[in-house]
Amino acid sequence: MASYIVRRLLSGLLTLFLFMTLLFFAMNALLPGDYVSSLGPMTADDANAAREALGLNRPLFEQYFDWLGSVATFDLGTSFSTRVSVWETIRLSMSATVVVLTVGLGLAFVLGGWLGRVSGYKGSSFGVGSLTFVAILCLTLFPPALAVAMEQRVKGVTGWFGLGDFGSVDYGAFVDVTPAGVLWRVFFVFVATSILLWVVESLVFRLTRRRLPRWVFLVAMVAIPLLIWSWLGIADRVIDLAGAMSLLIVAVVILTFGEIQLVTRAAMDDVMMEDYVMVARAKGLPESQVRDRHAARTALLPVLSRFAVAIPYFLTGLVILEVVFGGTQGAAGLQIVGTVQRINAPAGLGSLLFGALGTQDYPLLIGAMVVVGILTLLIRIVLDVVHAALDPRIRFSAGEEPA
Amino acid sequence: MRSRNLFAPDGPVRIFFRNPLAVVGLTIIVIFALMVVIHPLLMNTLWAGEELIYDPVFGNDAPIVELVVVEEVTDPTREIELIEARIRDITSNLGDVKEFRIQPAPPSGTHWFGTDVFGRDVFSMVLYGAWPSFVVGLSAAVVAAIVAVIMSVASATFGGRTDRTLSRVSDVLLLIPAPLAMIILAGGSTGDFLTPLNFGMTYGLLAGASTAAIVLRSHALSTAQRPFIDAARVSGARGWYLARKHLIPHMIPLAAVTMVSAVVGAVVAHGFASWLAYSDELSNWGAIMFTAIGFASLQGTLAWNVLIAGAAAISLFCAGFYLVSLGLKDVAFRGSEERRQRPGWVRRRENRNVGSLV
Repeated sequence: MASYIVRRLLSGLLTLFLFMTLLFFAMNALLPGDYVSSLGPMTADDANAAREALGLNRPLFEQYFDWLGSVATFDLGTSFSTRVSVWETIRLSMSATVVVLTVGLGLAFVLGGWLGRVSGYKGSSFGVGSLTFVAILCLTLFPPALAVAMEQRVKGVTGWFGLGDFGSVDYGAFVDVTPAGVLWRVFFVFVATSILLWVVESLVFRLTRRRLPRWVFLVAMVAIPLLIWSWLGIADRVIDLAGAMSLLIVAVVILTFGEIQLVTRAAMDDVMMEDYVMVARAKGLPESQVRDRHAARTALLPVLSRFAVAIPYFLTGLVILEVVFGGTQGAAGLQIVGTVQRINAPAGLGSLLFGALGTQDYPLLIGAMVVVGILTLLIRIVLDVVHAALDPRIRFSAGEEPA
Repeated sequence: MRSRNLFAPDGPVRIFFRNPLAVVGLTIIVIFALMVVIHPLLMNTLWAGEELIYDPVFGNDAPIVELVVVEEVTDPTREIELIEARIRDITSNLGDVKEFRIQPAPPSGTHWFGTDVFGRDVFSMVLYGAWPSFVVGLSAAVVAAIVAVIMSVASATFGGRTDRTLSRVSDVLLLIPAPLAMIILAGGSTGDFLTPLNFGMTYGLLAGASTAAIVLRSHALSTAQRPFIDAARVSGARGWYLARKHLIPHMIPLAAVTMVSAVVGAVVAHGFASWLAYSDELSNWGAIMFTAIGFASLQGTLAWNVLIAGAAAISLFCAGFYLVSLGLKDVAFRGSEERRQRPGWVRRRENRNVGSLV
């Protein structure tokens, strides 16, 4: 297993390097003009001076190696428009995207997987038909239209926040407890809790040969993070932010669960006639156990491999949603709070990306694209490792990478 | 595997039409295709001489509606605020019932879907938008299928270094999601490079070389391991000849499935680019919604008839192609119903883990 992970990581690094090379040259070659040309009319001398100051008049290859060297040290350069470190801006914006993506996709996976299992198991009936119909409907919804409808109707009626209202949440005097700071803590607490639960589960199984009931996980997934957050003293802020992000998360779930449900259903259809499922039923096991323990485990594999290919599209969908929810307050800037300089970053990678596109701020744009790429790659690697853990054939087929 | 007669009792056409969802999808697509034909017909016959009202780009018609002038509006379809009324007609007073021209107007007999903020007929715009969507979707689908089939077949036929290089290319391109890349290109590009045709072809290139190639590659690899390929090799078939004669025929059904998902992705990406006003098109479905949203803050209310018309057109269009892909999948993994009746080990041998990838 360890050797598989190492191999996968190394190949991921090579992919990442090629990706960044492609991105840099594609951006410079395909997008016309540069930051200076977006500033409006100026004399040729002034323009040249501005290009000199930003280092835009050097040969492209020199800029490329410079950029690559600094990326290797987590320095994505300086934004042209705000003169603030790109990495700093992205780190603040990214937190919302990462949390929404993990929570949203996690919920979609649970919901879609469950609906898919149920509808795949029952065979054809009216209920299953309507479940499939709803899934296809949600799958083909036009994301921005959904976002606008939700913002106009749900937000107007219930008074829930949208992502764009981040700024209105009061963070008191703590400069380090920005929304981004809270969100990163939320994210890492979630990850830590999942790992903890996984370890406990496998320990219990080793010792007693028994699986914990599912409600234990549900309770623990809510209770443990809440405990840790209140211990960190950020529980109330977490609840504020949860309100601010609830609409976005719901939108992500609506747009993605359909695909997971349909793929799970197709996979369940295939698995249900397998001999071991019939054996399990013949033994007289409860139907839910046959469904979830015997059939669904195998059906999970094709779902995972489909998921891995679909991740970039989910991420794009989220970016699109963020642009609509986040409104036009996209551009990054500096804010002076008291004596402390604080970077005022837009909430979410989507707003950041399109803000940078509007001002032709290429360091910020490329930086955001690199981060989107790295996120995608990381999720793919995690999914591949999970896949390999579930399916020994992948671990032991040397050199062959899962697609 | 491939029967010569398309219409044989177990041929692809019959299998496709056995799936009711696929038939619904095909019906939707046919309706949209009819819209492409109907619009110029209507403009030349029924709407002839009324171009100023029904033209999807330059038309304008503001229906006359009787509104009550009130202090505070509760029902915008029947009442109007005093200030608003005075701007339009200085003689208005509280409690008057006056005739006003309104745009956007709600659906009516003359304007089935109402009019948008410029007073254009939304029904005509929706009909008119079908053509660019077909161009974007179909060009994306064709390019994606060609690129993906060539890449996957080359992987399977030549193997080794070719395969490693090609799958690395797919892996790298997967990190630049095609919809996002197209939106950024549309936002950054100037001039009229991104016509619907160019947009679709570029999208097809990106999506075909990444997602579609990955899916098709594993199918091609497993097909290449089947006995008839060995038989062909023994009888002297090599390289492109082997690929053309023996591999590609087996890729076509699955390639059709990936084509359809390229249609959906491209149409949504194009819609979103137009929604952000990044497209040079004068009128398409994304642009319809742009006018609904873009002027919502000026109007004070969102023109729901305009937004819903555009969004429903795009969603239905995509749903149609998605449903068709379900039927094509039945053809690709032929006779999944019969297959279900056979014991597991037989199906495993037939299946080789491929059907599940799509």
